[in-house]
Amino acid sequence: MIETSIASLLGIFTPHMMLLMIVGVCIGLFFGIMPGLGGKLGIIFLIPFVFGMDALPGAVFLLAMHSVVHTSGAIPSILFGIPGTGPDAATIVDGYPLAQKGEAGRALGATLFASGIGGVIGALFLSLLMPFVGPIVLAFSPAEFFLLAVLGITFIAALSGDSLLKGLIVGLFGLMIACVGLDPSTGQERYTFGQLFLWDGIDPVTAVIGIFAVPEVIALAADNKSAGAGSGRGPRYTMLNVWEGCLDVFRHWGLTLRTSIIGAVIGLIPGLGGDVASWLCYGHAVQSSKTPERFGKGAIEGVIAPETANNSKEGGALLPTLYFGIPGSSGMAILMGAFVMLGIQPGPRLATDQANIVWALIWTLTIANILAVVLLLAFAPWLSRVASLPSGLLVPFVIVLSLLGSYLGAGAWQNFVLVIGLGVIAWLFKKYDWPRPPFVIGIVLGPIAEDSFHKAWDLWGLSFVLRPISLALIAVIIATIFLYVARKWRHQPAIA
Amino acid sequence: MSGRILVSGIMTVVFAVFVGLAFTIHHEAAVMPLLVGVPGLVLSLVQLVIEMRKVAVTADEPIFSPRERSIAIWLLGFVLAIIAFGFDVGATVLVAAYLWLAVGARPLGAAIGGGLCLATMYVLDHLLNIPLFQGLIFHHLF
Repeated sequence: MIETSIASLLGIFTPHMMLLMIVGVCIGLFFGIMPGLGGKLGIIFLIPFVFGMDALPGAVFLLAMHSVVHTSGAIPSILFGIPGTGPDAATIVDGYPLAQKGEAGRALGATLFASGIGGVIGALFLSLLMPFVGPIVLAFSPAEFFLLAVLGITFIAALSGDSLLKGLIVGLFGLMIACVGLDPSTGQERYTFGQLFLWDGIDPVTAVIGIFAVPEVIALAADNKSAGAGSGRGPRYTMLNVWEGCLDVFRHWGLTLRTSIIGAVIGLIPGLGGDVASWLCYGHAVQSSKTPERFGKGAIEGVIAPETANNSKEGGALLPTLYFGIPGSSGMAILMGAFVMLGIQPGPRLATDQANIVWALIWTLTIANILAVVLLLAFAPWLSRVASLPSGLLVPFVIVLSLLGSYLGAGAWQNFVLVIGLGVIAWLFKKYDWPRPPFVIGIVLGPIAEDSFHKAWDLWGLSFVLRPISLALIAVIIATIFLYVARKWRHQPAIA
Repeated sequence: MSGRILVSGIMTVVFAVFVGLAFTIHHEAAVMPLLVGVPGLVLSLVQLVIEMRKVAVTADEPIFSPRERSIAIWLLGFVLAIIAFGFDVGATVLVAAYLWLAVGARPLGAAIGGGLCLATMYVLDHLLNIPLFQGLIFHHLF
């Protein structure tokens, strides 16, 4: 394992890979600092550019971009009180008051170092779990992989929205869309309506673009956010202030370490995502402080805690994404779709056949987070100017590159029609609080689930559900539903 | 009609169509569609009933705001322009038009935006050798 890890590190340290990583990090920082854009649109934006690339460089490029989005997402939160991305909202609570007190530089410095250290600890967490995951994955048979797909959808459905029912429907919708194309066992056409381009099924990238990009673009264009609008160029600060904030992270090293680990563990649980990680760690910072009354008025710990968690969760989230095909967050769900396009099929084979790719991605997480801190420190004096650019200017480019990504996925212009059709449904999902991540799990895991189901049925018949690991997975599925119902019942408003 | 009922209704119809069509294909090929479609149909019907009961006590709201409708029309315009004229011409013209008309950029700014789009297409097509869609009209003409 150590040999593979070192070989992967050496593979990353080539001029080509480092250049890709630097470009990816710069784009990721840009997408983070512009309010409303975020990592999801970033991946969709970059898909055309990785088309035709080898799997590893493409994956490194996309992950480098995605892993640093939250590092710069905190900048508009601190300077203007507008979160660059959703999970950066927790940083506003203390970051913005710090800026108003004239300590914007200190808050920025703390953010940068906390994010960098969090990202590195997240990657370390992932690498420490690697030796244990391989044997677990290898113990799984087709029966367990089928049930794992069901578990993944149930898990995400229960955690990613306010209604389990809606989440399950969306997950099943994704599985249903995955049935389009030629049946793998009989070769018969299913739901192709005589269209040749549907014979290979609906391209996952096209589906992901329709489900995620279209609603986000409409929302972005409708809001046309600009962090600095109406607030001038933002507060002033010096590099000395920024360095003081960097040192604050080491002054609170215990909190930094604890929230990094909490964030990574939360990332490991599919469906929880960055919002939960950052708010939970913010809460932990308040609870563990001897002076909790300072929070909300400009406590530096209130900036450090959510920022470490934001970045460390990416390391944890990569594990279920890569080994089980169950994305740890909605961003990871889109990243997973892009990985499939690059030829990296998430699943157990990664543990055995492509361990070098997993190690390369772990190193990417580490190096990208360090690069992001270095770059942001270098450009710290000008960050407020970048954050005040109107993000609406990017809308037409995002639309064009999204459509280009869907075209390149299968080389068929008819995919544009699918993007619009799925986009309309997804817009309604977004508007009426239907979770969208379960759809991606459905469409990506659909072929694996179908193949596993047929194999399990042929080997054991219906008794495949009685295998020990299968029973354990069924118990987890039932427990997930039970816990969801119990939570809902507990939070129901009392009738007066 | 309430948007909430509309979404549940769409999902019910989608699953009903998929389940109905599953009966027209070979039984072995229909296993997975039925395994997924039947629970999907049942759950969608349950959600539809829940939404219909909710609507009786909540106020209706428009599905698209005027601004969102305008963006959706622009999006459709992008798709139609690219299908007709391809990425090089259709996308470039629409990017410039969007920046000018929807964002309110000056004509020079819009032209620069269109130029950036064209340059991106050039890089993808000629430097990265990524095959771009030429558009149905241009495909038939040339």
